Amino acid sequence: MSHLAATVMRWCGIGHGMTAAVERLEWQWARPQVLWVGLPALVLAGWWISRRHRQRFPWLPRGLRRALDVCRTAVLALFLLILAGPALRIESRVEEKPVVALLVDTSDSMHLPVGRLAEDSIGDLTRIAGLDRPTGDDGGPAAAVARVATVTRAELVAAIERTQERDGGALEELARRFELRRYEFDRRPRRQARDPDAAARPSAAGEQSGADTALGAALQLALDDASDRALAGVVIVSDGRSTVGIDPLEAARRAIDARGGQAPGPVFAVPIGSAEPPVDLAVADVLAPPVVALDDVVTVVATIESAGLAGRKVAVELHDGTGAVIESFPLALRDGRQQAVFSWHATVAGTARLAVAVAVEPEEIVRENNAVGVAIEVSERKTKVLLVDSLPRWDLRFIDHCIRRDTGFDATVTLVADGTAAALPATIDDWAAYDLVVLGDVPAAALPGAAQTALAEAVTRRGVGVVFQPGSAHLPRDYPDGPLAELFPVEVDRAAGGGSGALEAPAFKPFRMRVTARGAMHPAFALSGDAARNRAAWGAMPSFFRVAAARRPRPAATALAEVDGPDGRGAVVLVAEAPAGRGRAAWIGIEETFRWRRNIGDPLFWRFWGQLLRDVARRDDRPTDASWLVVAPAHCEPDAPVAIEMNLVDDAKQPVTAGPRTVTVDGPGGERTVALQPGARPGLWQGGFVPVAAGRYVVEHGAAPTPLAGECIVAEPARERARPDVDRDTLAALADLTGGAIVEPAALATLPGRLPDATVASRRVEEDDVWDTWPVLALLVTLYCIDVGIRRLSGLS
Amino acid sequence: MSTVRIVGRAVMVVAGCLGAGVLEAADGDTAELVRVEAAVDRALEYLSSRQDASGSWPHGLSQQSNTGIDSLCLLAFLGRGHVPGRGPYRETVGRAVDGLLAARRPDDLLVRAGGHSHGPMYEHGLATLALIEASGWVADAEMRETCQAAVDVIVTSQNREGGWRYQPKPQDADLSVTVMQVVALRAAQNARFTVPEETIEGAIRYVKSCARPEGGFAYQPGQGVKNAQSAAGALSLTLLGRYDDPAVEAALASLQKREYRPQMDDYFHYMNYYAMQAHFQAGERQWAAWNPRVRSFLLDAQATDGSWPGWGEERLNGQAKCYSTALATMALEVYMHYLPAYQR
Repeated sequence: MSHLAATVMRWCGIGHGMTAAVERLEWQWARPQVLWVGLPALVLAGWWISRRHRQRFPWLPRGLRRALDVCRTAVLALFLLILAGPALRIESRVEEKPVVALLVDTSDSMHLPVGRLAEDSIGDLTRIAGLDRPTGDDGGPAAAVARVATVTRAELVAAIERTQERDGGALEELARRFELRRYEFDRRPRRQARDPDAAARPSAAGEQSGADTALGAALQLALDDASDRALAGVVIVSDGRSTVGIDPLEAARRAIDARGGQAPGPVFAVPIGSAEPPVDLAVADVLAPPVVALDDVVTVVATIESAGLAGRKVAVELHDGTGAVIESFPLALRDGRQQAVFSWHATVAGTARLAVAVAVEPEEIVRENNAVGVAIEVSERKTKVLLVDSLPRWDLRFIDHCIRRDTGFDATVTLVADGTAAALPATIDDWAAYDLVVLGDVPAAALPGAAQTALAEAVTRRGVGVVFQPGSAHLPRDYPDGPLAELFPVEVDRAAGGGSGALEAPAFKPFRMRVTARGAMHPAFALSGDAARNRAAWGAMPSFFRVAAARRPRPAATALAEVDGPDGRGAVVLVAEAPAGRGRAAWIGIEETFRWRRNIGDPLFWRFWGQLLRDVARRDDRPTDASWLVVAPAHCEPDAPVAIEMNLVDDAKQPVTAGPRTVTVDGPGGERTVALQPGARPGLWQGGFVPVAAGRYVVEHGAAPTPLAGECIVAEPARERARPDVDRDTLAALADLTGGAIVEPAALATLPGRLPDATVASRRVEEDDVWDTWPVLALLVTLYCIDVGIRRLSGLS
Repeated sequence: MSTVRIVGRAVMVVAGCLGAGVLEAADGDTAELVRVEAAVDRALEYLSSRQDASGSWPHGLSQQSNTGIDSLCLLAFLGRGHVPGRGPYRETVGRAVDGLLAARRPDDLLVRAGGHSHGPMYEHGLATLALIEASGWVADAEMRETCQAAVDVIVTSQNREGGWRYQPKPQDADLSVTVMQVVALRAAQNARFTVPEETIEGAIRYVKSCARPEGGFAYQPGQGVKNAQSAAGALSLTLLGRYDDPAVEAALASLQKREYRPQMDDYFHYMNYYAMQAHFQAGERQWAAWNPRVRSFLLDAQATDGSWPGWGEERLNGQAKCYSTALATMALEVYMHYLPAYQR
């Protein structure tokens, strides 16, 4: 019976999704009061219609008259039915399983061998992974350890997943008890169906997405996906090395903050690979200033990292761009980090490409990390800097000292404590005589409105850089609005600190700087190509007590560092940078950068200031009366934006403004055309492209008046395999932060028991209108046709 | 290119690039540096507890305060980054600064009227240094004017040979008082106060006249080598820009030959502090040769209350251990590189 009813309902188009449970269907009226009123009225209307037909058409045969009565009354009945809103209703109980996100690392580092695992757990691991003993194996733990050591990390993961699926192991139990969502991640995270073999496959040639590991982005994606669901936990299967994108700990912290301090779910990390580092010799990083002056003697410091090669003597070499050895540094290896220090004399202006290399040892598994290159821009031109302050603040005293010893700068320091404006530039030309102006805690009395306007014009129209380092007396308090305030790369909370625009930390809970993901690779903070390491180094800087109250970066500004505001007022921007017309502006919301000198003196302090000043200063020393094309950066990684800047002048050296202007970009993906937009001044054209694959990209402008060309070499980063050991520290920190734990692969069976099994039950009500169907419409049309037909045939109309 | 120029450039370029590299280099000593910071923090807690309401510290020789000791104690706080107006010691530091400003006499000497003194130029030199260092944090016209006046006193008190003595008169001179004026002048230049170039040249002349041919410096020209004066002389020359003067290396070599112990000089704390700074200023090689022994000795010798004993200097600087504790703290604070006057 219910089957028949279901068929009829389906046929009538009623109750989509309800036909499976016809017996639980309930009939209901949306407006039953219409029925109570309408039914008596319908009876009366039927009687009135019948009476009226009898009076008006007495000559009509009785049968036809009755048919007319029925049609008219039925139409009214249908109308009444529709007004009453008949509907079918079904109520059901829905059980929603909590989500478990399984994040599987598929980056290139997962194709390294597992390495030697502990003997006491090898039996469990081989069982869980189904790594059967081959013929001839004595079955002892030592043999198993040796056998597993040569398996790649990805193969081990695939074997575990396959075995778990086949034997109904821990992962299958997770899939049964939870909604198991599987994600894979390398350079990009993605949600995937479960396919154990996918992890074991190396990246296809040309894809090269495995050349980075975005663990933080994967975690963020999984947490975002589960934001509207109960999350039982996150299981990360990885070697733990995150090389790109958001820091995994930062992703977890953000999720915790977004949930008011509650962890979204525990993270259980399954480290894949031996705790013992593999035998390796690597150039971990090379530190050299990105920009130096011509004739500088540059010190290049290479950090050499080795494991399992203690006592070995090697030669670390500094090579020039042609591969010739400039200097060799003998090193007796001991496990861990050591340094090789070289001197290099910058004798030629332009970009110098140096490389530090160390010979590959026979036992090494990873050989890509034995050389690291570094580019140094050698500038012929000194950067003219004006530093203005009202007090000899300590930062100023240290900067003053360092900048005078840095041959790339020509600095002038002016103290305006007495508030006289005479010592400061007043016109645009005066300000534009400098490439950079550093404004400290300068009183507005020393910088009248006209001088402020001139400075702002010099920045926006002439490309002068400006750095603001607020203090507690004048900046930003004296500049509530006006041309200078508009250059601030941040929005200042002027009400903070009783109107001082500064925030003070409690005496025993000082501020601690946190470099942002963007900041970690900014020249001021980038100590190496490893963003995580950069952030860790700066995050370890001493704490401090006062910051300028910058609520958020202005549009187009980039926050490079921040602190947690006091009293839970959220992040305060500490260092930010923004374009300002043709120039740039930076904000240093701390006057205690001298603390970065702790234990080491100038290096980090001047690393920050020297590179920041260079970055913000006017660098446009290319001629405006000549045609040129610049592709920047000249070397980069896939997915990094490449800027194209072209200056066009005609034979009379007048700027060419007629457009449109295009360039061709010939690279690994074929040739394409990029349209350029007019720049900030006549003759300047700008555009860009994003290379997706490694290779040489040639940019050409073949049109009149001058054929121009430039190029960019795109290479995959070497950082993915730069550190082949397993980063258990990051995985453990993630687990600690979220209330999870490290789960060794051999102990995978314990994982389901650690996850809270909190199925969420909910009542779901489904309703469907009955009247809004084709049979009702057909009935209405039929009744109308019968009525009209009878009238026509009977000559009534 | 001159050696000095090459070294100067190389140092700056290293400074611009080393970053994490130097952090790595420091890693080997991380545990020791943590011990240093802990010891300094204990010492500052001790000093903070001994300060009186006027911002002075006791010395034990009399009830009268001494701006020299007050300045050393203030410098100990500044050297750990506890600057005026912020942090857990803002009140301690604020009282000390106010106390020194209040000590200014009509003749601009920073020596409290009626206070205990060993010869006012000792105290004046130290107080000038302390106020100049604090002046970067106090937006106050009086502060800057007081500092410049104090510097002017030093300038006008220099004698014909280029040195200074106990009294603010250009008469005789000795290296012990001179080094304190030299450090104050260096701080003044760094903070952009007006210091005549001839004052600096005169100071260099005097310090060099105290150098001994056998290596080391004497208290006054023609006298014998003393360890405290060797440290003071080497530091003075480096702070005056004579980094590669042979007398510096010879003086440091003479110090390094001695057995390092409190008995090596009657004024051990004085010698120890200046020797630590002198070795730091002289470069990595000298620093590496000297600092571990000082660090190890001071860390082991600190009392549980955070103080250090006087090691014989009590007879001149009193039984209260504020003087010895301040100087020992400042010796350890060389690692922190916070005081601008002593930047290399």
